Amino acid sequence: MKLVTLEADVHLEKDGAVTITVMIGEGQIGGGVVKIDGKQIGVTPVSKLSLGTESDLKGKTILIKTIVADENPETNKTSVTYGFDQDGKQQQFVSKAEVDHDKDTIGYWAKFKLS
Amino acid sequence: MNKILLLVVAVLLLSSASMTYGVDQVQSLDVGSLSVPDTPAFEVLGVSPSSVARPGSVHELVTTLFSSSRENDSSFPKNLAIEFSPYWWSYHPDLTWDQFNDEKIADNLLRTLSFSLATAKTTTAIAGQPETTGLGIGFRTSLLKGTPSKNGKTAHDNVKNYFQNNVDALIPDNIDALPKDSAGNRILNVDKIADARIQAVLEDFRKANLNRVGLRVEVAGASAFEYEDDNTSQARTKSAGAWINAAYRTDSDTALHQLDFLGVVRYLWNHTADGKVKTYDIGGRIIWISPKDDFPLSLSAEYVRRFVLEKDSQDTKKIVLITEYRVDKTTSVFATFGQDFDQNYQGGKPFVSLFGINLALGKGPVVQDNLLKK
Repeated sequence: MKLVTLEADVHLEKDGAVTITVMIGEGQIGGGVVKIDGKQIGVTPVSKLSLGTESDLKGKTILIKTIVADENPETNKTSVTYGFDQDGKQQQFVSKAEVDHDKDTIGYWAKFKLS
Repeated sequence: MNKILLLVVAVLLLSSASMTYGVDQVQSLDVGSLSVPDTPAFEVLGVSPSSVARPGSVHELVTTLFSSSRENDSSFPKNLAIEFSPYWWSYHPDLTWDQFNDEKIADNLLRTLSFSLATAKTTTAIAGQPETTGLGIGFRTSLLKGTPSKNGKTAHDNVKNYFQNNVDALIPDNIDALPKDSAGNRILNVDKIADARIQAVLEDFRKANLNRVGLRVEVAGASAFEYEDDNTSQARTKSAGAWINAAYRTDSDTALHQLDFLGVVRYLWNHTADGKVKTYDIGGRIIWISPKDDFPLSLSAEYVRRFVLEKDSQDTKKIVLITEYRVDKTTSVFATFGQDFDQNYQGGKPFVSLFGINLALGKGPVVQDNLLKK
């Protein structure tokens, strides 16, 4: 199974609660988990999962792992979007790839360092 | 199994009884004829290509056209079969499964719009006569495509839950030790047992997701042209068609279980050696599917009225009853009784009595190389 990886830094402001939205695109299906420093705090896909405040999160690592199945008959494209929101300030990251064969599954792995 | 044997024996006995109606009359009957054609360009051109190119970008489309022309050493390709959906040429990261299944007509129209293109030799150059080539161009789209059934939504949740519960076993937190492919991408090694479990969950989803309920509306149109040698400026219209198909399916847990109501309006125009023939068909079909999974029987009744727009031609109709028993994924036995359109028979009675076995053998049309993803 192919694995799509992403590593990025996310800079947080001093004030405001942080949420994350993880979305599986291209009309595909799948699911996964969200972890902070190795501890699972939620599942994907998810909308506005509360992560905490800047003081809770600074220096920590968020790991998101998702399996996507190519079940949209119109395309072999797959994508996962990671969106951080802190009081309206948004940072978005998109990973995307095509599966090698129709109806394949594909893994997505993303690591964000919060600073 | 006993039920299957009984049904096969019954079908064989009834088949022998039906011979008096003339088996030569059943050749033109198409029991699935109410469907909008998958690739309208191929339909109006009258070809069934074994290989269909499905370019996934403008670049791939141009490459396919160019390479096809070069293969034929011609300015215009003579053996082309292409189908493409421009909407899917780009990524849509914000299109979730829920949004993909919504019922907005404009969105459905764009997402399901596909174009088909085909060329084929229609006559070969002999005795001073030029070679002629046919070109078919068509489109197809769904204005409404139904929604997942309750079983489909449950199966979707099951897939999501399965991956949420098992992703740790499939993707490690630390990926440094994972092997890389030749392009430098990480590869996950999924053992056979885990893969079999994934496939079982996905197979349940596919089965449930096929059964979309509610209203489905499909539209298609196509024209075929014919020209001599490579002279496309002298092309003449060979045939044309337009199809509108509306269908409604009840959900499986309703009192009626699963019922399909189909309605079709289609216009077909053919330029034959005898002149131009225009026909309008208006009709419908009702299909009932057995609620018992261990007895997958379906019954349907079809009525289509054909209006022939020619002098001295009479309207005609087709009325058939169809029953089908699905033995397994690839095999079904069926029986059809009724009356077909009059003009399908040269002087014979248009009664049909057809029995048979459908076997899905082979792999179907070949998808070409890396250009073709779906």
